[in-house]
Amino acid sequence: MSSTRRFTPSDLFRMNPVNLDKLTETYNLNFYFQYMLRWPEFQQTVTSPDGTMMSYVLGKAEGRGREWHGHVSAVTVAPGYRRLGLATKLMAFTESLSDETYNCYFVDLFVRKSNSLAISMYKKMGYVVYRTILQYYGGEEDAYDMRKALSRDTNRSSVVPLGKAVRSEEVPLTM
Amino acid sequence: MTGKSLKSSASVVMKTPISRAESDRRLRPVLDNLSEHNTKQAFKLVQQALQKRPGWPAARALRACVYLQMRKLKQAEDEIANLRNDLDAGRVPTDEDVAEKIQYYYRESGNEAGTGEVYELVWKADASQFQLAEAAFCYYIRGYAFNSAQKLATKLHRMTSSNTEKYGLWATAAIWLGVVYRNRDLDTNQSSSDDRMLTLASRMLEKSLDVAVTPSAETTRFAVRIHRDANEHEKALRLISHRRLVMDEAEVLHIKSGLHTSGEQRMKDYSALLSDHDCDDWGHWLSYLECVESGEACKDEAMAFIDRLVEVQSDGRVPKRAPFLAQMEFYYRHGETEALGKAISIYFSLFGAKTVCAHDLRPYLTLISDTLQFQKALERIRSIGNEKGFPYHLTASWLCLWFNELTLSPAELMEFYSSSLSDTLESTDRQDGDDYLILITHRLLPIFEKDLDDRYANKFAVLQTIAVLETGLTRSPHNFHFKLLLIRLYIELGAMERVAELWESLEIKHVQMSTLTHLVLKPFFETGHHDALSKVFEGMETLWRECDLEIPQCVTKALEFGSINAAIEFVLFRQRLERSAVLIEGVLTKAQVALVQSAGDAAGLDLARDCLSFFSRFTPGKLETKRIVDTDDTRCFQFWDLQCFDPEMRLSDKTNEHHDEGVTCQMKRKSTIISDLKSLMTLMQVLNDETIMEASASAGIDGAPVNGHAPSGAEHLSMLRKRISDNLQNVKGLLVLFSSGALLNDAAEVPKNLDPMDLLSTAKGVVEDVHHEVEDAIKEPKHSNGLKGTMSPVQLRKCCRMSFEILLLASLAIASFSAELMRGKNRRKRGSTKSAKLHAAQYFNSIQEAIHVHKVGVVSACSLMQEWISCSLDQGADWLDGVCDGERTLSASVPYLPNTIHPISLSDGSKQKGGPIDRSAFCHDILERTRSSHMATCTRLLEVLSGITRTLKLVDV
Repeated sequence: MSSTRRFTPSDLFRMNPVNLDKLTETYNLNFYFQYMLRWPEFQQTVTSPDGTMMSYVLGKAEGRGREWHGHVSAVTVAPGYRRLGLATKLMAFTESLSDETYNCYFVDLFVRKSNSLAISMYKKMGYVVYRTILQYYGGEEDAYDMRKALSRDTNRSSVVPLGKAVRSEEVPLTM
Repeated sequence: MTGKSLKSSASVVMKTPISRAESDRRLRPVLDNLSEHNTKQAFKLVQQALQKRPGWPAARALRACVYLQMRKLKQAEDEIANLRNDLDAGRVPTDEDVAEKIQYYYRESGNEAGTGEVYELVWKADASQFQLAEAAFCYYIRGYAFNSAQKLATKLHRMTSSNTEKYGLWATAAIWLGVVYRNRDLDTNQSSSDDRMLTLASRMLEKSLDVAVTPSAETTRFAVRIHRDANEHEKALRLISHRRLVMDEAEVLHIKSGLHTSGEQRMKDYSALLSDHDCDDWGHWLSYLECVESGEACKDEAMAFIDRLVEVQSDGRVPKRAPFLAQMEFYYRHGETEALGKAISIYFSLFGAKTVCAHDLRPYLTLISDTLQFQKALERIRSIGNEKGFPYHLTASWLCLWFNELTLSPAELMEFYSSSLSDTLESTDRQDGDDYLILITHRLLPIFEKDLDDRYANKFAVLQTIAVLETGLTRSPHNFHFKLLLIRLYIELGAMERVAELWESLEIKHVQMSTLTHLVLKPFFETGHHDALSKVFEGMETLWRECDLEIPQCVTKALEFGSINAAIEFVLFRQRLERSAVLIEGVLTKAQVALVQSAGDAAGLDLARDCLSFFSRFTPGKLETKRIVDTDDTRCFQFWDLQCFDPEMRLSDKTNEHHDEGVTCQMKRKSTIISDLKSLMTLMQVLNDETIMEASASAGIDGAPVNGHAPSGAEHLSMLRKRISDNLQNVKGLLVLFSSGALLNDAAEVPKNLDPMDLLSTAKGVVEDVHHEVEDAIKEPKHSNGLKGTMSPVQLRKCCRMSFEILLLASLAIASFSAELMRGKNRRKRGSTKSAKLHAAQYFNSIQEAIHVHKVGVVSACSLMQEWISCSLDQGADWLDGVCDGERTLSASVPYLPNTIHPISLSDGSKQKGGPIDRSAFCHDILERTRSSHMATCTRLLEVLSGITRTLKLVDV
């Protein structure tokens, strides 16, 4: 029992059930505002009937030419609301928006190499490991860049694994 | 800077504008020094610039900033007023440079609309420079001057309507914001004049959009919002049906469904949304069911629709919950309790393994709790739970707890917890059965008490609960629910070091500061943990700065990008953050800490002044009580209270009504915050030697109970402080008269409120109050073992609180009396006539007596507390032994804990040091930590008390 709607600035006051979780980062106001300002449609939240925030996704569209893609910057679910398919629902939303409204070639996301649970979930959703980004997280932990091709990429060239790891400096800075 | 030189600078006429290069060369260093808070150097540089270029408006604007930073508010206001007069009269050049410089002043003083006015003035000098007008508009919006913004945007729209829709949209947004802001600010409903304004906005919008070829999705969303609020649904429907509009189909359908006036049409839209797009959206279901309720004829159709979706989901591999819940909601709305009872059982059998299932079912069980169906449903739930085991059992246990039907003992619950443990999880994961430990918490500390404080009255039960939750934390080191509960419990036991550790491990930052810090503000302050508080203050100040700097910039950017909706939302967000009671309480606590730490020392007082003046919104004359009262911070932490019992709970927004006194934390009453703010404001103004009567008027509270209820402990203290501040104010007023020689004149009338006898009686009364508070704190509560000379955490906290109150007052009293008294004493010696001397001496003696009474009271109260705390320390603060009374050892009282447990985690909450230890060693560890933490708090308090008495002895008033 939940409602999905646009993530608005006032939702920042309700993030505690989600963001008190160890693996969810809380950024400064400017970070969230830039997303809401530039890519408002991508920011979505799922709330329970009493207004408690259950989950949210932050995303954007970026890149040039064949690299024009949707990017999932954060997708997170409060501990009490896991295993309800909320993350899948929000990911599907981002994919659909990137595909139908923004006409992107693919959707990508970065995930900690150690986060095996999340990786297997993304794989189930059809994402593949495109490349490894070395020391992406705080110069310590590697990240997987995972991608899923959208309908515009008819030959699925965007998801052919790169075959080699790249350094974090080689990856364009994403918010 | 004197009034004379100010006057001369204002009268200078300057016709030639100063070049940008010269401005950069001469004024950039001033700005740099201002940002570094090097006020003296900034003043020197700005004076040099003005000597070179007399009357230079940009330099005068910066001089006003310097005054502001020096807290010379009157001079700052005069400077700006003169400058504005000169600019309006055209006596000095009006250019962009002066607008840029003056915005620093207005930003600091919290009046961004002022910058807007100057930018508009500059724009008028050259109307082709639209960017200046746009800047003015943005400043108006940022400064909540929506009327001015609307007028300007309308003007721009008339000038450019054939080229762009932008300004028309801006004007519309300003009108809409004006209506919303006014209603929010005054807590009123929409009036007929608001309706007219919204109609105007809708028309203006329609006109503006005529020129647009295809409105963007964002513009359409904004336009729909305006038209809908103006009840112009047809216009909104036309817009949303634009054939070239690029918008998600579901969103279009959703917007349309909200606009249709016909219930039947809306029902059709919602059923399409639910069957074709997302059958799990509860908002759509509620709207659908509301349509059904409005037309009885639809009932059968709705039932068939719900049944169909339920069937589809039942056949699916992963069924969605919402259709099943909609079915229950339908039964409830149509009074079919028997069917509802059955549906509850079916729902549980399908979704009982989900964590949220208990929350889903709770309202429906509540709704039938007085029927036969309730017992049947609960029985069925219990039996499914027992049959299927974990996690169904956990959900069933939650439901039983809420309805007071949980019969399992803590030991049995712990067995379930132990059997649910997994060794294969990541350290960041939670154990699936963690909630069993929270259930034990509720068994040990029942919550259905009228007085929440009673919940923690049994300290032994608190200790047992701590042992249980700490055990859970060894397996799920990042479970924040455990941590929040433990923070609350350790506060009860006075173990503040562990509270600080747990707080640190939660990594609270940025916007979370506005919704969580009240958990620790008061306890840290009362127990002398000022170092831990300083980190909290740091985070809060960062957030305030972001609120002041980042949000206005985002508003400007949003307007520039044409994201009107986003601009509106940023304005509303800022408004709410500015009104946050938690943030204001933080600033007040910081000021109080500064005063306590200063113990009358000038540096500490300056720090406290800075604290209150750091944010322009706290400067005299800008205190808007309404803005503090109207905060809904409490809604932000509603989720903590996992088990707050609300019989009215329903599955709609009505449940958002906040529950003021949660399990985990009791927020300070808003009236107390206001009272604190006002008393500190008055005190600060007295110390700042500012207009006393003005201070009195702006403070304007009396000692009467707030809102008719009896004052709570905290409120009483606030009122006490207010009385003392009034007392100080009167003394100050008397001394001003005294030192100016007015009292030496026999004919001089002493104002009534400066009657020395009243003054004295107030001082005495206040001291008596302090004594009573101290005595009460020391007397209660009684120890179970009758141990004498030891202090429980409750007593300790009360004493701490009182000692800090006393210290706060003492430091202010010392600071405000000493210098004036010296001056008064000298003047008295020089008095001319005998009668005048006698007259003056009468007042002087009264003042001295008042101070003496105050000082003696403070010293004796402090000594009393010192004696008790020293005694407690000498005896090893063994109240914990009293709680356990020797025989009831902790490990024996919680025999259901696992035989071997990892030691309590350390500061970062994630690393376990050493191997597993046995249960009794674990419990011993908890006791020892609590004891040492409690003793550390006693020692801290002792140091503070020594500081007070030392300072009082040193300062000879």
